[in-house]
Amino acid sequence: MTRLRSTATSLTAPRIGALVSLVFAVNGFSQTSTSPTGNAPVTPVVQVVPSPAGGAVRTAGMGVSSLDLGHMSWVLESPGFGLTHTRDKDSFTISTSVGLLLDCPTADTGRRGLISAFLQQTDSRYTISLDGNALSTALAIIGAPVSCASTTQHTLQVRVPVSTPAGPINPTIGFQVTLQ
Amino acid sequence: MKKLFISALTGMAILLSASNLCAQSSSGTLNVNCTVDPSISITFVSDGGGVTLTGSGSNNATLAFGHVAAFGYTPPSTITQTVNGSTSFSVATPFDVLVTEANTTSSGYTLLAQLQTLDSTNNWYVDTLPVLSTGQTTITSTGSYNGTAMHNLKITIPFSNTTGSVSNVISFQANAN
Repeated sequence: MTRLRSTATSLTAPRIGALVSLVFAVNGFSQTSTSPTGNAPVTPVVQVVPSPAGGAVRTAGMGVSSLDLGHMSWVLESPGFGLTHTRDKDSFTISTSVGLLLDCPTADTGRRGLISAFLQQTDSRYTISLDGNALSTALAIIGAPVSCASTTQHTLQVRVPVSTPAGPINPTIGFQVTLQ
Repeated sequence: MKKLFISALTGMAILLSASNLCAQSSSGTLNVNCTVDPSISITFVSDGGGVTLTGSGSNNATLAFGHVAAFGYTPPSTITQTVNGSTSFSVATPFDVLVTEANTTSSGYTLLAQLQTLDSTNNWYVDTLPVLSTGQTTITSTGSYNGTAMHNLKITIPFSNTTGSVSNVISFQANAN
């Protein structure tokens, strides 16, 4: 599995990014930084951010976030704020909304990126889906290309079969962005 | 001048060509934390041979025997009526209990029942076991999950009861073994 792709043209990219930024400035365009850390990243980063109606997403650093779903069970009458609980006879599913912020270096302002997601490890105890698509260790493209500094809303689902033993589960979803 | 102009154009062409190749890639992560808790649920289901439950499939159902009597009464096929000598009569009907487990290592359950309100006139039974308001009665300690289990509700009404209406609530509780 390759999670970091070659950046062979990285020497050229900042120059083009700078040029584009300059043109925007001349046209009077100003962009507010939406980086959760307040600083533009050195490389493009997908930052998972809270959704207004979603669960508790916390930023733990540049490109690193956590989502605490708390205790959940097949018989769950009142899930936490921003969480939806559904079940059938074989499993239950917790759903929530999350935002994906494409945080880019200043030099890449105005560019677009294609975001992919994957699971860092497979685990038969649960299924993680993003916008209805089950994730695996293979990269899966999430939607259409998005602009740098934009945030898109997505639905994250954790499905747990009734046969899964009780206990903690801690999946990690990896994101990768390729600027275009 | 002409030479310089061509040179500038060539430089721009290289620049534009490079822009098509300048895909950058980087990453981010989301750590999801949660704890799966074990759980069981209990629901009442109409039995094929019993009175149809209102609220079948839920954990709050109503079983209505309708009008019953000791004499001159022909019960429907879903109700069994018995006259007990010269003192009382009984009506009985089967109903099903479904206990479902999820994310547990429990191999079975214990089913308990308790009458919610004291009834000093009539006698209530589940599977021939008296159900009282003073404490829980163990209906079974070897219940199996994920399949309906048939139980029988019987009410014995003395001839001395002239109140007309017989009504109560039985609370069932399933505990994982």
